[in-house]
Amino acid sequence: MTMRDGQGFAKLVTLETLDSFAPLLQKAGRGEGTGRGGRQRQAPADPELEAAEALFGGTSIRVRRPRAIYAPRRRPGLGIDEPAVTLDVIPIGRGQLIWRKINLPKSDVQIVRRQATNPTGGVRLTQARFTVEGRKIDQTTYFRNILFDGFPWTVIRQVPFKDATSVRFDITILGQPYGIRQLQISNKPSGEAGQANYTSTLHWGELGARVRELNLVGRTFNLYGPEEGTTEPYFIEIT
Amino acid sequence: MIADIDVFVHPYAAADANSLLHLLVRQFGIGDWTNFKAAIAFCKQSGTIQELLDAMQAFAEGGGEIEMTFGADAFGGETKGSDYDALKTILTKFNDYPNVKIYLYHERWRTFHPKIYLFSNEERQQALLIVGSSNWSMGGLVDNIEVDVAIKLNLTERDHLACYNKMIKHIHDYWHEYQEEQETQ
Repeated sequence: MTMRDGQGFAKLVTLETLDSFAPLLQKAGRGEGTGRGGRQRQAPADPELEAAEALFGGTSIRVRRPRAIYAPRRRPGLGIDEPAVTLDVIPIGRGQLIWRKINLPKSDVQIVRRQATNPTGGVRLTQARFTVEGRKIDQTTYFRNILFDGFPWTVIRQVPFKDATSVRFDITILGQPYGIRQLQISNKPSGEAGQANYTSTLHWGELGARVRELNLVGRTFNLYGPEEGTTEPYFIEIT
Repeated sequence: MIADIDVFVHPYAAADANSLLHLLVRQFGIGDWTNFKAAIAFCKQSGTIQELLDAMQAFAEGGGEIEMTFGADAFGGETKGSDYDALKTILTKFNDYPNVKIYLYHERWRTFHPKIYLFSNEERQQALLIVGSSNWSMGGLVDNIEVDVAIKLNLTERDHLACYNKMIKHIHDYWHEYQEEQETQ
């Protein structure tokens, strides 16, 4: 019988092996644990912690919540019928703000290609002057190696190298909910070139046409972590 | 003797010598049980109370099996969950007891947060399930404002047995180290 989702995250610990788990444990002299959910992985990478975490393995169970149905809406003046969206989750709460980009440029919110479902356009995940604990993020590692490193990444091109993953986002644009969408995040380390260029992109996918229709140039893109205790969805709010 | 179902409200129960700590020490010592399983979010050094550890040791020496799973959550930065020192104390105490097994649970982006204490004797078809807010700490077992519910399970009754089996299955399948040949049915 193969390991099921949710299994593989418990390990027998003995006196001999305890030290290998130590980076995951509270050491004397530091604050008591507060029980907060694990959504605060914004510290620099810790090899010892990563090694301890690597002792555990498995596929996390994805949670489901009550079903919500949004009725079709006609948008005045645009002649667009938004399809009824049946969700398998209700957005109950969201985690902390983990990134923000103000004054969205045209390139982030316009889909150039005619086929709007082709996921090539998206938001460049740049530094955007976003700080964590008073320090500006390093956009070359923050998205790929910290925020989304827990997701399975697939290499989609070797030269130049590019990999991508797929993450579920609960999306709200200008106060209107657009439900839970699976969006691709791609990463191009070759984009660094010593110029601190963007290396990650969040692709609009099937929402591309709608994003273009709404003309979000100059708006603010807010990215929030998942609700405490869950792994997804993340939350996007464009205001 | 506790009722078939009882609630313990701390610290008020502690004032009457009826805290969860008292309950655990009593249950380890009364000879009714053969197994003790627990799944607890945090294990703190303050919870390595001598009377409790001694009661557990006596239970283990009498052949009782102890299996406990504690959370090893790294919440980021300097703050974490279970104490290294507490684990070391427990593991040192029971290093020579193969019938005592301690597990750590760690799943990225998910907090291990249960507080479950389960005594059982399947031969006698009885169990005692304690579920509440109490972590393995002095605060959780005695001093904090906590609430725990203790439920006696009669494993000859279908609903009780179903509840017991469900709890055992989750403990074995998800909160003990995965062993392919030990899958519960």
